[in-house]
Amino acid sequence: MLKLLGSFFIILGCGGVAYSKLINCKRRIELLDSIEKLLYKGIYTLLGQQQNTIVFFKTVNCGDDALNNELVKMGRALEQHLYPNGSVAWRECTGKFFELYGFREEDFVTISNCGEAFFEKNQEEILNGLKRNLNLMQIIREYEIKQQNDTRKVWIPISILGGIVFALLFV
Amino acid sequence: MGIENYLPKCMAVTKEQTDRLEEIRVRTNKPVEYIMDNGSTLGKRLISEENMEELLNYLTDYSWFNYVSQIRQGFFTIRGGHRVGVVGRADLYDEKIENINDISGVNIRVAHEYKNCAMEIMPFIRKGNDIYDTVFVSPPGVGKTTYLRDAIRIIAGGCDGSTAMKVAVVDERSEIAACYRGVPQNDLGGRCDVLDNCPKAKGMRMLLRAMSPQIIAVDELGGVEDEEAVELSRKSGVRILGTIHAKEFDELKDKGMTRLAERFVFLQKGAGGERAFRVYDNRGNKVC
Repeated sequence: MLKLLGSFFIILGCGGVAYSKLINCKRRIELLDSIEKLLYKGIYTLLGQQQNTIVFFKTVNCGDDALNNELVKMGRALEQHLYPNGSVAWRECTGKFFELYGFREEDFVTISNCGEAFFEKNQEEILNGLKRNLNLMQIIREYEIKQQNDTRKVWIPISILGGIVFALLFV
Repeated sequence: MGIENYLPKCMAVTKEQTDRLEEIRVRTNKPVEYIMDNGSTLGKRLISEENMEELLNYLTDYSWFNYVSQIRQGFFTIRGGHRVGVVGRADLYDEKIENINDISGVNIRVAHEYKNCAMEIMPFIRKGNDIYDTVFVSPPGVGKTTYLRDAIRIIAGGCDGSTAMKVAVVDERSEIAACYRGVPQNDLGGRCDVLDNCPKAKGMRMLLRAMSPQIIAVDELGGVEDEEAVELSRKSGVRILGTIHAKEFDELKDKGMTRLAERFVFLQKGAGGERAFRVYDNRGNKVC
């Protein structure tokens, strides 16, 4: 009975490793969706409604509470003139946040630079910048979805089989 | 909002200095020039391009694109009513200025409200509960607009004990009301409506039709179109409050502007910065 229970926990643990990898992938995709939403809202709000950038960041809802909080913090920091320019503020405030989610280095650089488009000097440059970043986000998103599928296909069977092997070895 | 809140550390001023500041001139690779009411001083360090960018970011709330329509005219107004003039590289399209980039010089005109400065003039321009058509006259920098703004506040707020009148302001360069996103930043009294950033003559005609004012106030009358719009307003029974650049009554006479109003308030600035005034009627008789 004890051996059976031990084997069950080992298999469960290995499944858990695979699951956590999947969850990370899913979270990255959710974040990319939120960034896309933010970029779309930027086009609509900054260019369509002529909204002030600070007010935009303080009030925007990009669909992700954690990212929303970071944006509000950044909006407040901008309001207090804590950063010499918007690009620095974006990189410093959101860069640390994105770093937590294990993006690939090249994707991380792209994501942590994508907000610079919000601070361009005229509407045309903002629109072009936001569109360009939307395309880049979609490319990164496709990569992450592929990664998620690979994880599902490879890591789940491997971890479960590995778990069984471990269980057999110990039993 | 005080101008000290918009300045980067390298250009910082104290609250006490702000009260005396009239202009701040910032030029790339030059020290900042602070123009006070009693002279000017220079900052200690040179202003780099990064400092200039930082200043512009603070002035525009990191939203330069929001100000482009104003910047095409060479200036924009920020919260607090301060007017920021800019020079740099003008981007032209079809011979019109699209934007000004690579800003190399900024002139911040610090807005001050001197409340009640026009109070002692009021008895000479009041006609019972009504007013005479009145124009403030002086050379630039003496305070015509400041006196006009305060006269509007007194008349539209009934601050001198008379009934408050409906005053409509055409603020072509956002100097009178200092509107920020359409909202006047200066106190113009309770019964005042402001049409911001609109050419004077067009604006006066619009206000006549739309706002049924008792008084129309405008800054810097001078063009033929302005004179026509003033005539039209007066024929419609609307009083005029305005300003004109001139030094003496004869100069006004030569320009044929004495028919624009019934009272001409000439302002003078003394050596210590104190202001004096003389009031004439439209025939050149001194009222006070």
